[in-house]
Amino acid sequence: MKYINLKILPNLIVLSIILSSCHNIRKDDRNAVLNLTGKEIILPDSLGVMIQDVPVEYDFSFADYKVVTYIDSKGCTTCSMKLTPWNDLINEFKTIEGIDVNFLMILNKDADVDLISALKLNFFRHPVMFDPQGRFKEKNSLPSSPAYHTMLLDSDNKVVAVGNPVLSPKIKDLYRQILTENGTERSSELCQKPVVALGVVNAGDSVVRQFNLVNNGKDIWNVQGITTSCDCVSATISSEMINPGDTAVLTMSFLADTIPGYFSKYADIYFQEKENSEHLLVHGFIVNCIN
Amino acid sequence: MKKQIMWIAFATIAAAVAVAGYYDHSQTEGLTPLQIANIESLSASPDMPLFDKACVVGDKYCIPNYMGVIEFSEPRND
Repeated sequence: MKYINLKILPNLIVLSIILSSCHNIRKDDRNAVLNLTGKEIILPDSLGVMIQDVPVEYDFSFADYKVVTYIDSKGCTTCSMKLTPWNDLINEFKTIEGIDVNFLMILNKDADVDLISALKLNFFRHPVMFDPQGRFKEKNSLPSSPAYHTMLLDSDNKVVAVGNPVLSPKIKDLYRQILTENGTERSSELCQKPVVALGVVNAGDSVVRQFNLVNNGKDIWNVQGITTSCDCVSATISSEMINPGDTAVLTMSFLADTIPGYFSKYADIYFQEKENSEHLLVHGFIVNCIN
Repeated sequence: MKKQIMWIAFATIAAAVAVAGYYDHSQTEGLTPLQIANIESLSASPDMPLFDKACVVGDKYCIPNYMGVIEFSEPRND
């Protein structure tokens, strides 16, 4: 005992603080996760889904995973919508191969001019449900805090995880971990935005989008071939060889068929020097004629 | 006397560590690893920002329909 002296006391105090703060858990977070995990989320039947101001047919449940976010009418709704970060996140999750991830934003508001113009200004071309009566929150007995109004659901619409991934990188990482357990994340080396949300496309229309493939490396990339997900997609590239520092433009055309609903189509471009292809994807909704 | 104080301090700290450890365990007892990861990621996240200010034209801190950087042209894919 005589070897122990008072000098070690500060060390012990610091150690005790470190040990006791290893798991800094907030009680509200614990309760929300406990109450929501495994719970089936129900969408109100009477509410339709829209892409900006166009009603679309959307089978939200038909996917391996879904991200649903509910935004209440308190305060500045357009501020809490966070449309640009959501745009990026949805397109990022769409790059995960082998699983389908659906998305739905539910707004506790009427589809007024301000909200629609906000969606258009931000090129937000993802499903939105307008729920002015707050039926979604009521039906699912959501906690009062908006921190728990965003959830990742499984194929049975049961809650897998809770939290808003656009407001917290920790939550985003958690969602990504769950999604990549059953799918493979495909990052593009040459294209910064390999996913494009087309929004609403008329049945029978042809849509063309261009993807810039930039060679930032030191090696030359030689195109080996291009494959597409269906006959309705065609893709051409401006140059068969991309020198270091050069950019090639891949033009993808999609001919919308007559079946209304969600679509996701891709083109894979293979290079002789690369094992994995560049995966370029367009997704959106086919509708029967809008003006 | 000095020895006694030292012993008391040591015992107090040991008890505090034990209580903290037990509390920590009881917080996560019965939870799945995914639930624990979810709670930890929620707890490590900043508090939900309060978007409680109504947007009024002319208000320097609240631009109507502002949700971040607004893209005025079709986003490019490069």
